[in-house]
Amino acid sequence: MSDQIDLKGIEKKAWRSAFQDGIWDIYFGSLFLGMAVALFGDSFGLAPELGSMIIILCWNSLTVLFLILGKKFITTPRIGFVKFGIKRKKLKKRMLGFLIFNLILAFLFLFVNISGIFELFNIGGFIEPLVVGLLLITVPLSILAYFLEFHRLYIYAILFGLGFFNSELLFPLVGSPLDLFLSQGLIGIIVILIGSGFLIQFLRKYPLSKA
Amino acid sequence: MTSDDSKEEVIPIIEIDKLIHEPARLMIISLLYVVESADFLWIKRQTDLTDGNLSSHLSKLESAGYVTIQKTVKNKKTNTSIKLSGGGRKAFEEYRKKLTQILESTNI
Repeated sequence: MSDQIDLKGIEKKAWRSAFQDGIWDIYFGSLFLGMAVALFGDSFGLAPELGSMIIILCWNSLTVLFLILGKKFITTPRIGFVKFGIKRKKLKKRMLGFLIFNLILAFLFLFVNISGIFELFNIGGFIEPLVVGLLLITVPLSILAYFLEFHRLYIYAILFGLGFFNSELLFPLVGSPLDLFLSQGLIGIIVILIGSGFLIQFLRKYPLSKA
Repeated sequence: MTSDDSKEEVIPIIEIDKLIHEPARLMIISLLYVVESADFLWIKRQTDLTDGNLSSHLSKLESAGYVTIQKTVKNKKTNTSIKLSGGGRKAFEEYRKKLTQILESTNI
């Protein structure tokens, strides 16, 4: 009987209440959908790489804006505002450090991929997209899910990580770029729909406070 | 059992902080103990108390010096930020300690 009042449980419950609005789900789903939309980078008369980069930049900026504004104008007026303790602040710092590390890792991978080292080792076929997806998407997102205590993100991490692998499976059937668009875009849309379901539920449960 | 023994068992119960022991206030203090600060609406949502009820409990806790309430006006809206004071934190820790002692001594 070490703790009559389960303070850890109360804190965890309070922390997890931040994810009941579905906004984080919509945010991650949109990020992934953005990757699929970016495949149409050449539609604006620009070079495909440049067009894709512009689309990703604009799309991701809008997604981040949605997350910030959604939390400010949808969540906070309905469930209020809370500042968590030192433990959570430390976790946030660690999470930020990890995300920066992950960004560096992604750039390194991009550099290695462009340099053609993978071709030297004859890595290809289904293994490369599976390893790339799991290493660069599933593992970082799972660690993020652990830090955030956002349990649905573990499932999304697996779904997102399998995106490249699925596109390899779809390639013989639909060709490129529809293979990537279908595999990544569909997963993004599914996650957005899940998030929208949570958002509707949240809006019904917590109407705007008149006070 | 002598009267002194029963007195010893009863004293911790009498000593327990009744202001904190009230269920609604215990919920409020427990929540504030695990966070740095929170606004009125957040506590209301977490505790499911009505505006009037929460307001009344917070006033009692503020009068006892257990919480500090800060009101700010932003975009013509009043925001009430509530924080557990140092005294409140200490009182809650003392309350938990006593409650544990009582429950352990009665083998619950």
